[in-house]
Amino acid sequence: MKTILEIRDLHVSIDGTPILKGVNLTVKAGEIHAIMGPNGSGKSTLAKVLSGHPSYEVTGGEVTFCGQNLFDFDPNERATAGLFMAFQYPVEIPGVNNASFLRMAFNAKRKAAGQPEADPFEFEKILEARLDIARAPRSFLERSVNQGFSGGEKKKNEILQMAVLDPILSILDETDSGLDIDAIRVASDAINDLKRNDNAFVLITHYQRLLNYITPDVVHVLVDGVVVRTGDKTLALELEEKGYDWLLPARV
Amino acid sequence: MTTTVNQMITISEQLLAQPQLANVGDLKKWFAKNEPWRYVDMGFLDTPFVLESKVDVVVNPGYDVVFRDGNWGISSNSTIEITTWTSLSSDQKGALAIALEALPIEENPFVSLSKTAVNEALVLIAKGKTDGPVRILLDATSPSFQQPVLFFWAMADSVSQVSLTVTGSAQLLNVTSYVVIEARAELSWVSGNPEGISTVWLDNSRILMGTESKFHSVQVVQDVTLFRSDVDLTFSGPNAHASLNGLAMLDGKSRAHAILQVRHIAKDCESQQLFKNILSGESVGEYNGLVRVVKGAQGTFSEQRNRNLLLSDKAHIYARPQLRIDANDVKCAHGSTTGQLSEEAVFYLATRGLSLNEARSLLVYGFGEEVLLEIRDPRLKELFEIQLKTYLNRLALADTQVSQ
Repeated sequence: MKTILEIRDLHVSIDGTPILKGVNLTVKAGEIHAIMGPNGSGKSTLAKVLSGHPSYEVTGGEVTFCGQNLFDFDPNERATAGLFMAFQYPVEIPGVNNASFLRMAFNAKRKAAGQPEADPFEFEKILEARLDIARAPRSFLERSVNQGFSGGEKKKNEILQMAVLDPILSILDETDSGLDIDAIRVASDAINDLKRNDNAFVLITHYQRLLNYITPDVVHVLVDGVVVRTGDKTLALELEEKGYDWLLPARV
Repeated sequence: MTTTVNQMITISEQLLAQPQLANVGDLKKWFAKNEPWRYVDMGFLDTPFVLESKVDVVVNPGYDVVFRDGNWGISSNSTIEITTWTSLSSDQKGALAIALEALPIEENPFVSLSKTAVNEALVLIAKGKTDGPVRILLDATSPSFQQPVLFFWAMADSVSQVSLTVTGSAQLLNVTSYVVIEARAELSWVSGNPEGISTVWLDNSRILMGTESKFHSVQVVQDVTLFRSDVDLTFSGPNAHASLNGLAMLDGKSRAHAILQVRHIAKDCESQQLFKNILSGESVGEYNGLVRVVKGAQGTFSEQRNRNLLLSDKAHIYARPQLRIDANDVKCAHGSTTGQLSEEAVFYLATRGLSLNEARSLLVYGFGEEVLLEIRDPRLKELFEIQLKTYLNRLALADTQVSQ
């Protein structure tokens, strides 16, 4: 299967403090990867660096996305090339209509691909289908982006954006945090509906419960900025039972 | 004070001729000491201007009323009764004068000055439910001093809307609107300038609200030499509701000041304010909002929100929301925030495929749009949205300051 994401010896710092200290990870088309780890291990940092957050500095290593050097591209270019990150804390954009914003994002991708932009009528039809996949209510479309949304609604809006943009690689940063069981199930159903042989997902999560509904092909455990263990879904069950202590570096 | 046509005079001469200011001496110092004027550049006081002869006004298509070069023109197709102060019957004048007795003592010398023009004032009388807004245009064909005065009388149980547009080349425009909203009447009021104007625009509103009445206003200003809005609203009767909203889109050396005083003297009234400034270049904005709740005005609900977006390090904002509360069963809140574009928000939009410039433009647009969403007439809303987009196109957002 085609390699979508390859991370080799990635080192990242913020304000001079090293966070990622040599991450190695490969994601192939059709795969779902889970990245787990204790607080402060660098999981969200990894997601943000891949998306191009300006606060983080890459101090070593390389990342390729669909065979190209990811760091050659600005955040918006990575997005239009097919990389999507669902934020752990989605940002509110008051005054910007959700439906209009979705159309802008959709057309940004089309424009980058040299395709004609969708007019409001064409996009309406595309959006209807995507609302169903994301299990998002129509009322989302009339509201401003994330403004006044509950935590669960914000996460659902991220899933809706993912459904509309249909990325090659989706990185979901703790999408399950703050969600109840039913909401996790709904989000999982949407992700399972979007999964195909030509795309891939990276789920960043603390807890095993999301993985009850989305079966990962690979589970990585990130501790103190490095991947310390990689396995299949049984690794997640082992973590649920034992916690992370057994994987932490021995204290001297 | 008498003047002759084509005489060159200054506004300071006009002000000092009033009994209120006759012994003031240095006017600029007087304004600088007075809190509602402290940050207003009063350099225009000594600019000479010409009082020109009045000519008949041709009403522009699409407008019900036009004030141009000192004179009013009234369309014959208006949906509400429009007349002049001098044409009112004695009974009408008497009734209106009684209603206006509830006005507080006037402290704005420009409003006092405008009383010299009351005999030429326009009077609009709303009865029943009017279909569509009354469209008023304030215009001037040459640099001059213009002083339109209008009375809007919303009779009991009426429902009406006003759209007021300012354009033209007046050097100084001193507008005073007296608005009486009787019991259970509803009035929406939208005003602004669709194009940039090189005008000192002083916009004074004196609003009286009766029992269970509703008032909803949106003011949008952009690209103006100096704009000062002075709103004084009094709840005369209980269970009334007022929503006051404003957006100033400023760049270059434009200055916009929003000075508001809301007086809760009746019980169970609600007032809400949302005032936003977008400041670029070397522009200056001000929000000075005072809410007074007198003893006995129990059940008052008041909310003030002032939001300011600084897009350059040379822009300046003065923000002063204030509450003076003498009743003990009220809910009053105020808040003012001033900042730059959020880096996290810019990044969020970039991760959805928007370029840096597109992301910044969208954030600024969304900031302003939150006020424009308050405009109920879709045609007017669209007109102001076009203005907001035009403003955005003028800004060099690639160099916009972004907060860390």
